[in-house]
Amino acid sequence: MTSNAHKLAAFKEIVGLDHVKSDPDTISDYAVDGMMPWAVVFPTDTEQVSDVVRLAHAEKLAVVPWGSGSKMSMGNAPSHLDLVVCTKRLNRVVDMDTANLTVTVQAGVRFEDIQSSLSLEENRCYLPQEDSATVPDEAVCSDRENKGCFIPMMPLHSHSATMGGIIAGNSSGPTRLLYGLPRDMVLGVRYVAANGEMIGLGGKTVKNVAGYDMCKLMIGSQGSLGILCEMTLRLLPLPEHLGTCVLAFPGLGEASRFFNRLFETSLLPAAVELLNSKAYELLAPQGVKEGDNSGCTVAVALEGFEEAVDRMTSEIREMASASGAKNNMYLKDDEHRVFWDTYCNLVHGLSVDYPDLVSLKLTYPISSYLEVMELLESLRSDHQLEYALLAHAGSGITRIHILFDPANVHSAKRIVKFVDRLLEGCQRIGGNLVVERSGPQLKQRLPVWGVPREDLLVMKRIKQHMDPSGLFCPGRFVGGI
Amino acid sequence: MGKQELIRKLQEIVGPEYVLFSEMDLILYGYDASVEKGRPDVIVLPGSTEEVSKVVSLAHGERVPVIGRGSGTNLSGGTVPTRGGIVVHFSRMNRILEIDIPNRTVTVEPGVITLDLQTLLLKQGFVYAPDPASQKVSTLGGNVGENSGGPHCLKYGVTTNHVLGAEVVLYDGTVLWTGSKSQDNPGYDLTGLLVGSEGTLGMVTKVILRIIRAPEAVKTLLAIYDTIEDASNTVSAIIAEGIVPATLEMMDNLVMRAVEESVHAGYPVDAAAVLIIELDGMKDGMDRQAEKILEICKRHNVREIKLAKDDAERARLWAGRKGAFGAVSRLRPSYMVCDGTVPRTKLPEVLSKVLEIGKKYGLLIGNVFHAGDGNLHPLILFDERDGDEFKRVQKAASEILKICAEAGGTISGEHGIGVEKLKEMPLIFSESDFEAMRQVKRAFDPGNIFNPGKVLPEPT
Repeated sequence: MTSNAHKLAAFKEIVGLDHVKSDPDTISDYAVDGMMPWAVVFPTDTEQVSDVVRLAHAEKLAVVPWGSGSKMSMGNAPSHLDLVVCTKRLNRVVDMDTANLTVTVQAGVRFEDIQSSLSLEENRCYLPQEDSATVPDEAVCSDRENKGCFIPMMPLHSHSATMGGIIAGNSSGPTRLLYGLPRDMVLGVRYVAANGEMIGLGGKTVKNVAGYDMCKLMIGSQGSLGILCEMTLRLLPLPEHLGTCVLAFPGLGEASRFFNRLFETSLLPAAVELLNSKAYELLAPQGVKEGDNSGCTVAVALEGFEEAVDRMTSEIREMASASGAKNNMYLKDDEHRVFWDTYCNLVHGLSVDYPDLVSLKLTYPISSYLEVMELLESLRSDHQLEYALLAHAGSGITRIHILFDPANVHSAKRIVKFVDRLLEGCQRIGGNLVVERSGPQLKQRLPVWGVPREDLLVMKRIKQHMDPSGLFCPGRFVGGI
Repeated sequence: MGKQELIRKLQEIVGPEYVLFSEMDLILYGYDASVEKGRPDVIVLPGSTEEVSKVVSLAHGERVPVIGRGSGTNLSGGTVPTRGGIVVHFSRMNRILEIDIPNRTVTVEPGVITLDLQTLLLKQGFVYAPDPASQKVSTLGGNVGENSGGPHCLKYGVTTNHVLGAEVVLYDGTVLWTGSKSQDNPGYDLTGLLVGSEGTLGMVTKVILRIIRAPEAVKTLLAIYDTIEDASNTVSAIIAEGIVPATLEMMDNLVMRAVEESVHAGYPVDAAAVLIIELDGMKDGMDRQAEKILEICKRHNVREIKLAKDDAERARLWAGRKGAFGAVSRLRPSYMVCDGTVPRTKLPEVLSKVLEIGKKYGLLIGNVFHAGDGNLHPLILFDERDGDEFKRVQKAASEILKICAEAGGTISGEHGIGVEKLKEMPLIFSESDFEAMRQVKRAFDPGNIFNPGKVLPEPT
């Protein structure tokens, strides 16, 4: 085993002198759950990542990949940590083929940046074939008004998240209701495996059944099987029209009547979110007026043809009113954009006042949401906690952000009890929970990945075969994988 | 253990009437809809997950291959027992176990015929979106094994986008569930790995599928062209224009004539090609979108555009498209269908190269395919009893897959690798890529009893 100095020199050979850091300031910026690496490297392409991992493998180092760090608080603390591989210099757009509705980016490309480029992309051209003998020479381009396209996702931490982190973390947001999840968008990946090999699977086609669907394996694997270097995603043309209905209900009973009505229709909203007062307080456009914050606000995002959005808006208003809504508001243009932007970056906003914020994500069968809401409310009041609640009403997902004040000695204990009882309750309903964010000390006392299911057996085998020496993120994932 | 002993033990598990081993049975279950041939040692028809588990356990102990089979409509030899073994036939496990509308799921056994599920769901106003052309005959278990596609995948995604969980029997008989009714289960997406694994990782005994509310409105258009180029240019133009219809299918003259003879779907037998374009969703804005499509078709010299005026007409149009593979058997007794998929902008160029390859080898090639997602299906028609013609067909098929790979595409969009495309796998994967997939295979099936010799080429 060579000395650290020796290893540092070897890494510098690979990525360049300026792109290996081991000074105390940088190291502490890249701490994982309070654990410091002894070096951080910044490779610029897949080949460099491959060489770095090959060396790390030979030297038996523990490696954690890092995008922009927005989700590093997920998972257990690593059992060992030597090296952080930061993808921020893997920031090229490899291929933007909007006429084919696909884009390939390196892992360090930030979601906001690529989304913004795609919205302005004017290439909607194709080469028409005249007959089998001639080679096409002139492209024909669309003169469609809104020429841009987009990756149909609304991931959390959208201000900072990288594409690699989004895919590795299986990140999604409210519009999953209409557009689906990362697994429905990723067409191909290129990653570096534990032995340093560069593995490329899938590609630019929307259908591909050649070999095993390794893309599905890599999505949500949280860096435990390899370092994602490139990914190809499918795109959609930008919707013609966007808007949001914000509906204030007196209570869950009325909101739930509205959901039932809405999900009986053939309307296709892009998102249906339930917000409690704390959440709405942070999101309300122009602040919350007296009496407006009923504690049960529903925000419905609409995207599509103008006629469709208009019809949905009017029918939603009717249904809301028939269900007992106190008032409603329509947001468009900037107000709509700001609302969802704030929504996706809520944790960042909350963590300014509450740096020790504890975020949980509950998952359960869609139809059990009322039970989950009742369970949450009763446990909340039992344990005297306060949280912002945001639920994806049509997807069976609820997030709560507990306003934890560590100065209050008893609140840590209360949170631990709350989470344990909440997990028990979720399990009974056929669901689970995950701790998405917590300070490292409290996290040690929490069931970070909820309760593992019976297929953990196979997951362990996969990890064993793909990363036998436990190079990547040791101990971080489900079941301590 | 000798064969007789194996048969006896299997009879103990599933009952003697459900163990088949006559000469006729061994021939019948030795082939599928591809040109591959094999011969099993025995066929069993289990009636429950426990029986499947016991069969697999026995096979594991005796190191005998197990091959799952639904309706045997596999197009790449995935259901052909090329190394003998036990064919596990799921025809008795064909129950729809639960339809859960509030949770938007159905739970089924693998032997359920896909169209049967769709017909039942439609009565309640719901849809299971993937609609492979074989849906009248193929089973959901088969669809899951192959990650089947179909015309509506352009808008709705393929089978894997609609599978939430599966009950699977592992190599040693262990039964467990991957996924569930609730979404975002923490851990690896094992369900996603199983779908499309062609029966090589485990044996799925139940599936939880996602269902969606049936769209409010549907518009089905038949666009008729006098040249193939105009039709395929229309496809590129529609996608480039930012329109994503629910389906965008293409058929050429050869296939249309065969279809008209057998199904009488109303296709024009003198046109060079047709496009079947379907829009679905909320009715608002649909007329405007249809207008745009009409305008694009006209820009590309469309001869005529018909709009299906009612459900019956729509059904006939689709029966024609879906009956295409069966219909071409009127022209020649055998066919080899290539499943290359390319980025859609490359479609016109690749299609014309396919036609050239046909001329080069003196072969009749019909084209019917999912133009909207770049998934070609050149149907090479021949008589497999003519050894020389068969050789030319195999060369032509290989060359077609090669040009698809060169165009930045893949060698299989939906029919799977099976045995048929093993030799073309190196066109798109490196040895390291294979090794990564072999690691997954070894993690699931260390003894290589599940459908051995399929999907992954042997290590060099």
